[in-house]
Amino acid sequence: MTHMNILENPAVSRSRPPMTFLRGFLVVVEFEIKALRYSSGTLLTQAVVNPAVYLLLLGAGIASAIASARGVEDLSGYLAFLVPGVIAVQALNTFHRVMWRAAVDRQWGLSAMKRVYGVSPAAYVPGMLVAPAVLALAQTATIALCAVLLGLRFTPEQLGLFAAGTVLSALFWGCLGLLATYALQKQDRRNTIVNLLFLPLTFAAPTYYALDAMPTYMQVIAAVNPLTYHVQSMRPEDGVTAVSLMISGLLVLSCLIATVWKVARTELLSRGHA
Amino acid sequence: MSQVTVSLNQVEKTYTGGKVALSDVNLSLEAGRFVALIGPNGAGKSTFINLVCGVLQPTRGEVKLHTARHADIGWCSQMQMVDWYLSVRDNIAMGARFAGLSTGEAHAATNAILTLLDMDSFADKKCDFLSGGQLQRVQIARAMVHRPQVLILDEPTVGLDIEVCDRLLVELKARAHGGATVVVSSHDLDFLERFCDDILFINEGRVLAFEPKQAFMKRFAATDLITIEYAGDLGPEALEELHPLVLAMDDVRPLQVHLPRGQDLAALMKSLTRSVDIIDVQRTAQGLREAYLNIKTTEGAAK
Repeated sequence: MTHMNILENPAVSRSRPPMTFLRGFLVVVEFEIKALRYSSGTLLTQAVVNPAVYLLLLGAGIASAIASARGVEDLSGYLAFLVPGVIAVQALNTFHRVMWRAAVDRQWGLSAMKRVYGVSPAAYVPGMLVAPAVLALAQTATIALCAVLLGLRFTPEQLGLFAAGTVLSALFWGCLGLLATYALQKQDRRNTIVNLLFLPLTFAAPTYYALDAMPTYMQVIAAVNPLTYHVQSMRPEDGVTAVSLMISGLLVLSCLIATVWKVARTELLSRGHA
Repeated sequence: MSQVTVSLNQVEKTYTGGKVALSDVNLSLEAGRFVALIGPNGAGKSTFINLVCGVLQPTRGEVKLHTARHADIGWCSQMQMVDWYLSVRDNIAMGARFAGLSTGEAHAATNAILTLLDMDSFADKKCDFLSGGQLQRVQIARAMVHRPQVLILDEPTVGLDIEVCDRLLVELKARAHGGATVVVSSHDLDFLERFCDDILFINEGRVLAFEPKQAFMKRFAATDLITIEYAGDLGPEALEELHPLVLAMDDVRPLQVHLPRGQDLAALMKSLTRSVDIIDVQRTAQGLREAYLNIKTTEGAAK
């Protein structure tokens, strides 16, 4: 029996483009965007209702209380301080969204299927983060719009910082969600970690109150809390903003590398699937 | 001249915990062949498929694809591999897009496969509203949509109605004749027998047979079943007289005996008509089902 390479047979060979990093990344993004649009009700809630409620009800409520305690009528000082905090807290939800999508991918063998088509972990990981980052940007736009409705005004530089901070924050938390999905097999273990970590993280950061107004132990926690740097990168303060942006970028990069490494090392199918 | 699409060289797969799922597998899959992958539950069929697709790595040996790119494989797993947050159409188009088709090509190819597998009526539904058979079709369609060079389907006929099953296997046969390698693992032996070219039989992690269907049937299903209805009684002496004339006797009324394939019935009839009146005679060639049972029996006896 003479063997011939399949590529020599014009009847079956195809002239399709090879799977490159960019094509793998773009196709992952394409279907993650479609999955994001799966339920318009959920999308509307996440992109508009939740952030609006945070700023218009919680934010405005606290601002009024503070203004009332100080005997002033102007809410804008505290609201301007609060906006980056609310943006960062909303971006934190990217962790859940990516973890949930990655869990669907793993549980139903879709990540294995994507790998069969040649999508590398280096393309898969960032591809999974784009749709939630877009959602986070939509949340930020809603928050900024609500702030304007409450009387705040932003410079283009401030809006640029909001966008940069949102993207860095969403990429970091999304990457961490992906890493958690691949590092922890069981869903209940992932949920436990989320419940244990996320509420303290939210409050041990200068989200709703200034860092120097916190007790010392909270300042120590805040110093190692990534959320601190995400919030600070959106607050225009001399020296602090640039450093926070740099730290946030480094955090994203480190988390991205760790996640790609973990995804590449994880078996595509567990024995149960085989 | 044959074209090798996948070759396995001394492949072994041992899972964590020490279970050897496959051992010493040496074979080549060729273009233009429809291979029926058969064997009992837990034999190693799915492991074989997952190794060929590259979602499992062999513990030892090498699995080599001779295709242009990895995406030239179409894979349909036993598990329900669907994205529950995408429509049926998008789940299928996903396969086409990942395989390198442009958006327009993927759209056209998706529409064609939707029609082929009779899925137009639920193409835009969400997957969580589908029945088991419909979900199965989504997975099959996604594996086939980009017309891959190697198409590997694990239990694709489970949950499918006869009409769709028939249509699917006709299409798979056509793809094989068009130059693709088609491997189908199934327990639906009647369907496979009608369509396959080769049989790959795996049991307890070992390849017991990999050969053209005719050769396999000749080795393991080389008999005909003769069913004879008669009036009167076959006494012990008459039955004793039949034994040297047949390979095996399954039943006495109606009389069911096995003869070598195509052997003349004259001697049997002559012996019978001395004791009883023959009412009806049916001759049935043994199929893949019987061959499967025979190879299992042979294997069991050899232990």
